[in-house]
Amino acid sequence: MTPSPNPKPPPHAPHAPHAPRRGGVPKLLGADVELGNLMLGVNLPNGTGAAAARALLREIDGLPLASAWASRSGTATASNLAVFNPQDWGRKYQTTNGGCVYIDLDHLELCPPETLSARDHAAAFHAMLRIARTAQRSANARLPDGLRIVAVVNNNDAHGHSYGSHLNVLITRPCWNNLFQRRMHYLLYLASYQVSSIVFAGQGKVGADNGTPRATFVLSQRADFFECLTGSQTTYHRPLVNSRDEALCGDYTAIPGPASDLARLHCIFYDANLCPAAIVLKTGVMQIILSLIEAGQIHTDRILEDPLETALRWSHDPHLQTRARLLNGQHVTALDLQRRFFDDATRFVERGGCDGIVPDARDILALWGDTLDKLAAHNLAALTPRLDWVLKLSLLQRALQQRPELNWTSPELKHLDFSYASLDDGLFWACQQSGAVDPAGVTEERIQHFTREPPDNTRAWTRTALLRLAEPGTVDSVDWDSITFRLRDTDGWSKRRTVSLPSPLEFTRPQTEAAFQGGSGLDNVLDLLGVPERDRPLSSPTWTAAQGWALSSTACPASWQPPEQPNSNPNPH
Amino acid sequence: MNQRQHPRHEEPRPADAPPGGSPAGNLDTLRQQAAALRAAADAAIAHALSANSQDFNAAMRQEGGQ
Repeated sequence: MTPSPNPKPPPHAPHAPHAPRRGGVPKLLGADVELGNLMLGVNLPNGTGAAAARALLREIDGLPLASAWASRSGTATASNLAVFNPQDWGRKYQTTNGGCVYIDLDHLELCPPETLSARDHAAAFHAMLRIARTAQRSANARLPDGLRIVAVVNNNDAHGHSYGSHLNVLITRPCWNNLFQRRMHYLLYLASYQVSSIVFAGQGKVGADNGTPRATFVLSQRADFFECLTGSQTTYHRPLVNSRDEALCGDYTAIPGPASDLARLHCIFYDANLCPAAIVLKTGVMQIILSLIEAGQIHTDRILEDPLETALRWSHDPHLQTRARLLNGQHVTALDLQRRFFDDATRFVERGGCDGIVPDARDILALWGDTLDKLAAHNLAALTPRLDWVLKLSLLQRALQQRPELNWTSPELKHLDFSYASLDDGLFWACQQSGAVDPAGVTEERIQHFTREPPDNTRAWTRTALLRLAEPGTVDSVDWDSITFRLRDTDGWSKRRTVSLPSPLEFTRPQTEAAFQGGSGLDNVLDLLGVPERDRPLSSPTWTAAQGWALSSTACPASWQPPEQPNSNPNPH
Repeated sequence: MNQRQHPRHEEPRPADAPPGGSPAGNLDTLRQQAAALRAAADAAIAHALSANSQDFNAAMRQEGGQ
């Protein structure tokens, strides 16, 4: 059977893809954040992480409802044919905000919905934490006396294990190709930026890990665990710049579409942050730097000679005095290098380089510049409300003052390190409730909104609206970029209907809401969205001159236009 | 629709705020914040350390991760 694209644009199908300016694409944000989870009051042979994670997941609503084993990374399916994947078990998509939760190697993993702005990302992440906290309290209420589940928003257990807080950013496929296949200095520029950015993105940690030199307090929870420059692996020999190529933008076909024109940078280097300002900086500045890289506006004078070694040395120096050698022979501190990236970014933003692709870019620049100024002036008191590592350090120093019997190697200090980010009763939240944490424009109202509602300016809105409309048992599988429903035809026959959401920038509320308002029932809404009446049988691939080999049962939206890419072919002749 | 046209929440943002009020006002605010932080921190630290730290640190052990 020949795959047939929608014969004509349906009445409510998306018509207006975001028109990227200057060759860039909006730097849509996502994350996959593993929690440290454990159960106190019981000893199990392999630890309590698995039991704690499952108890937490059980308390969180989501779809699909059946066994929900993953068939491939990112897909939650009710099918019995699915394959068990220990890194993606029990995935449920939220009918509240469009994010999802699942278990990854015994960790509860939280994925906020796709957002466009750094502030929305921070709000959505904190909303996911609240959802997890509610689950924690429900799970604890079911446990017998003496047992208690603890969840910690951190990245190490001090027993040699690290777990990730991955940041995902949408970029163009040509930018991806430049980073990983064509221009090694682009990758080194990004690596050097990431390494120096721990001055504001680190959560801070008591002690060193993974055989690195001893230290009392380090900036980055993750830096001790990074052992190579690039690679696709995430659980061992971790790379500074992860090359996992998983766009989550539909299937690759020969038909031009999001999957062939977009990519997702999967940044695994960063710590989990709780301070809203630190989250806005980590994500917002990364949006700007990637826009700059996408436009090819990089300076090789920013490149570190050895980014890996430098990550460790700078992380182990909370005084920010350690110098590292650049490729050009100069020796700089992390702050020196950050200032140079800031200058690059300022010029780029002032020329309009982030217009339309990084919301609030000038606000983010202002926050970044002010933070670097205060760090350079050693004005840590002014940064306590803003940066996790500074806030954590001030709390630990306070404990040491109050309890002279303690020192940096006391178990109590490590306990406080963990307690900083304890989900239910952590030191961070105590400080936040006292008004000592800068909200950085991430309002309580916005966080509450994202505990109930999806962002309305990404595909998360349509995904959520469809899941809300589904009758029990009709959701066969859900992924970021598609949902398959199992429905009944008018004659009673079972059928599957798959709606593809390949571009995360489309299927926004303004683009699809009319279909939900005008439709009566899921089947009718799918009609109005232009979804084929039933999926084609997945038999053998077919070839057409116009479309090439295709297995996908649904076509790209008729409106899809590949982004303009002036850098896509840097050597046209 | 271009993302810049989306209705957005309009709370004041750090960069929109004036660069500073009166120095004395700022100082008072900072002092109040510091006092609030100390009080909150002291209570939270005492609460955390009311449990056995060695037991907690041992129980924190995870099995792998990304």
